Amino acid sequence: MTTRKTAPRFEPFADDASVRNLGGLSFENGRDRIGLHGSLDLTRDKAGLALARELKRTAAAIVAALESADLPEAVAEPEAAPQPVKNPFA
Amino acid sequence: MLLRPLQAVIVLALLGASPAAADDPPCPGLFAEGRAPVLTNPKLAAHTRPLCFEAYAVLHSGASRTPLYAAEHLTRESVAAARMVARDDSFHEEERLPAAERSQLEDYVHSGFDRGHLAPAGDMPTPEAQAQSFSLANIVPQNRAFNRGLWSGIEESVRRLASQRGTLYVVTGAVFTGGVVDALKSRVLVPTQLYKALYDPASGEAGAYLAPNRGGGEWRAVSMDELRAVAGVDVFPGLPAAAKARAMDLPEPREFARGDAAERRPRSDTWQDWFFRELARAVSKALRDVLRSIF
Repeated sequence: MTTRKTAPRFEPFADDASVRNLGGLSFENGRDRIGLHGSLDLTRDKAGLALARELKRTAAAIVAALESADLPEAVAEPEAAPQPVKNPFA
Repeated sequence: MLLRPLQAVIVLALLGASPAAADDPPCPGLFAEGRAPVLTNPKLAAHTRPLCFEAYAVLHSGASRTPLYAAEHLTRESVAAARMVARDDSFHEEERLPAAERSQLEDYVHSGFDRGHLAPAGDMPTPEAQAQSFSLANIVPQNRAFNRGLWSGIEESVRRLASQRGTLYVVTGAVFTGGVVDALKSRVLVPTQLYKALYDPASGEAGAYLAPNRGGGEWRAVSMDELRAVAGVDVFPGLPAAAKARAMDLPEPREFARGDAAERRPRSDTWQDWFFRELARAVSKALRDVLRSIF
């Protein structure tokens, strides 16, 4: 059905498409910004440990990506405001 | 807004008995009584294409370069199966759509808007279905605070209701009102409102959450008749008139972890559990309010 060439892999700040899902928490990747959405329960069991480890790995990868880059004080995100257009449905 | 119901009536009169959408949707199992929503505003029908996915179906508009709606059939089992494991997915263009009619990743980058799912990733019962939910054919530009706040609470409340009731048909849609609307890169229209309509086949009731696409947390419950007047869509065409006229009681949108399956935390817990949960909620709300007043 939906085509995708390669299996997605979450590499922090490498692209604007990949998403890491941990339970109900997702990390939406971006070249300038990673967005965290949702929430997550870490239960005191083996599943909770597996998720906590994955959370730690993900956070560590983000920190490593930031530490290895030459960072500005604040990223310049050229935010393009949406343009008003005629509503084709009105 | 006041003109809307009148317009809808005129549109219906012009259309007569022939609805704008196909009678046989390509993936009937995802629709209540196998019938796809009917577009009562005929302008919505231009450049539309139905697309089936494993666990949802959309009607995509090449005019807005967004889905108009996504239909799902949630069951207690599908919701339980959706509460899963760690995995990586990827937003992707929908290659079944003509390039000129579909949105691209670049349309959303630096737009200030979230890529909002109509059919949520958290509803998807299999890894493949979840991967498919990241198709841009299922995505609309959504206000960040709205997407991450109220809307995710609505999504979670609907999953919880599906777990309680056993089965629900859900149609999530985008509304574009007013003579002028915003567009990303002059290409991808920003919905003015979103709705999430529910139909419980066991009780015969239906109702919809309707909320503006901005922060602030406002929403209201509407009947299918009211929704048709606002959105120009008869979402569950098979319902009797009485069911369309009255909005069912909708659960208050509340955000819980998606791992909080109703099965795993039975409702028959003790009053102490309930008391401490409510206390924790009150404390965390008070904390949030305090923090908000400081910053």
